[in-house]
Amino acid sequence: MALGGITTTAIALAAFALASIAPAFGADFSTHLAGEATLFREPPAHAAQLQLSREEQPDIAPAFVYPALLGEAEFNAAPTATTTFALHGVLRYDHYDSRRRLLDLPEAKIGYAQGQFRARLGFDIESWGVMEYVNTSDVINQNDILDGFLSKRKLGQPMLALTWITPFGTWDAYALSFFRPMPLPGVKGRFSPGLRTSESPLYGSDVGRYQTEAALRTTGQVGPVDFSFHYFHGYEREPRFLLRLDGDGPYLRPEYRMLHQGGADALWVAGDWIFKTENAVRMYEDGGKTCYAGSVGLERSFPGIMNLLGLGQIPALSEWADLPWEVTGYLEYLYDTREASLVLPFTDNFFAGMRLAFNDAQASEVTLSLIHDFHRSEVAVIMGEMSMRPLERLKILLGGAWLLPPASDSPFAPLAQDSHARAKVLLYW
Amino acid sequence: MFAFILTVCLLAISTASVASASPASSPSSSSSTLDGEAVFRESARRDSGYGDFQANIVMEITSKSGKTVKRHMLLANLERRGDGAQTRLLFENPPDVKGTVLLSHGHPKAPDEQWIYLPAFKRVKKISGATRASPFMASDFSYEDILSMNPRVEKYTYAKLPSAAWEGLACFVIDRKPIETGTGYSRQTVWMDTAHYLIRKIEFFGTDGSPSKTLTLQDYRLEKDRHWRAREMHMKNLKTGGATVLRGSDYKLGNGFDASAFDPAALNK
Repeated sequence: MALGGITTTAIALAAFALASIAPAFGADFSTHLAGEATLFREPPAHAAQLQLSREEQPDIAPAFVYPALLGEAEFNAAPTATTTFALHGVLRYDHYDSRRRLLDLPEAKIGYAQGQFRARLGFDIESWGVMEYVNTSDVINQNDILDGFLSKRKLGQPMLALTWITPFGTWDAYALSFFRPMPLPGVKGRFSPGLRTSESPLYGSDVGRYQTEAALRTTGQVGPVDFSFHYFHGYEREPRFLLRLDGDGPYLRPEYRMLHQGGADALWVAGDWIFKTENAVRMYEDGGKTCYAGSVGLERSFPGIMNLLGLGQIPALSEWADLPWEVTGYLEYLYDTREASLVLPFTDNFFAGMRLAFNDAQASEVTLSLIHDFHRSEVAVIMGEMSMRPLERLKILLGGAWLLPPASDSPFAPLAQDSHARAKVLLYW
Repeated sequence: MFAFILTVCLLAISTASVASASPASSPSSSSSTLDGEAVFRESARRDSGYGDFQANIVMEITSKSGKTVKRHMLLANLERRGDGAQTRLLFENPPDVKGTVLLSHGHPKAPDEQWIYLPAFKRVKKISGATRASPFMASDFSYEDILSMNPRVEKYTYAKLPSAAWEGLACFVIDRKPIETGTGYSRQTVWMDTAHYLIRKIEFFGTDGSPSKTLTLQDYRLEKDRHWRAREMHMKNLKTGGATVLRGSDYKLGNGFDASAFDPAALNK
């Protein structure tokens, strides 16, 4: 949902009003605002983007700064012992890209819990899968790819969800409608496919976004292994792009096909190690090729890393020997038979990640990730982020992504000049 | 993991029982004949049957430089007959982690399990045992410290030392060594009062054998006429110079919690 300045202000005022009255009703309200600046060292790769960027940032070139404001507010109440109400709003105002301006309700739901049964009605988010980087089985919500490069933020999806929790496993059933098409960048936005994109997708069903979708999932545990199986019928979440032409030239129109998806996940905790796998098979109703996606991975944490590395034995570093620094490492491999695109960039990829947690009062941590594309024998992306909480209600994030010069057939080829750094300051109250 | 720690802490606290005002007493002839493992079994037996409880927890973390930060949590604990106990810890601050839930299941013999719910991603993530020695919310408690207060007798070997007094209370003094590998300690020395079998003090020794931390439990109060809960736990880190105090309040036992509320699948519902 695109937003204007007046709408944004009205929503912000409403959030403040809600915050002030929430305690009087025994409810809980929290919110935060964030300022964000994304800095690109190079101009956009596409002529239209470049021209617009120079018009709007004549004094800043050759650095290209894209500022944005973000806000989130959450309201939670439990009117009775068995019912809950949750409202979670997200607001994003991008200075240049109107398509990135967003008002979303990740949560706006009524919940009911009685014994082993749960029911939810309204906007909500579900996260399926066990992998750290790409969740091939995760299909309920649409990803908000405009939140950031390879962001995992999701958009709220209207649903009725029923849950039955038993000692032998948990069963979830979902009915979905009012499909949320993936938000795509505007002409002025970065991380763009290089052509205009249409906001009017094609749908595989005659009823378009009002198509009813359904899903069933069961999760359980056998010894040290957690597992889940799922089935989904509805629209694919990663659209195909069809090249079209109008009076302004060529553009891309997304198409969402109907599919049946079945999948299985497993996670095995073996002492200090975690082994995991995630798999999905997609069968398209239009007769398209059946596709498979699967991934395997492992994870391990190393607390007290200074001592583990023997650095505490070095006299100059002896004072650091007992620091509670902890490193967690991730290794994952993904194979997907679908055709790669900018919204489905990983089809034969290796992921390596490291998170260094300083375990201090500021919750300081550093993450680094490397993504290697086996199909093209290229390192596609190196990403990093530092975060800390210098004050109780203030958090700072500094990050960035370095897109190594991609091959011409790489899904990242349109982003060849989109390596960037991002700073974000969040204020909570 | 945090939740589990706290749960266990509270369980441990409840495990034994001796009001702080109790007079010093000598071990009875029957209790003095118990070996170390039997003492811990008796402690666990005395607190069994509590069902469930909840409490508000405030954690005060003081650094070596004297700077203090406070953390607030809501603790819920469920006794699982024959399968240890489960703890659910809901973080209420700092604001960037508000709503995060740590769910722990301490099994009597099998490896303990922990999950963390991350509200920003609506995702439940299972945690490996490797983080047991890691600090709990940047405090001087580790996840393992909380676990060590849980009366899971089978996870240690015991050696009874000569009884001694601690703050005027006659205490069993017992050395216990973890059976499982990968812990942050080579052994722990536990002071447990002989009157109510409540843990009063634990000295922790690092993997190099040197003293690393000291925990004292204070202000035990009786709940439901049978179950003792410590209102304060003081952990002093001998290596970093830091200290952390856990203060519990508003204890409520017998809430009738349903087991499904402690299922990891329920965390994001």
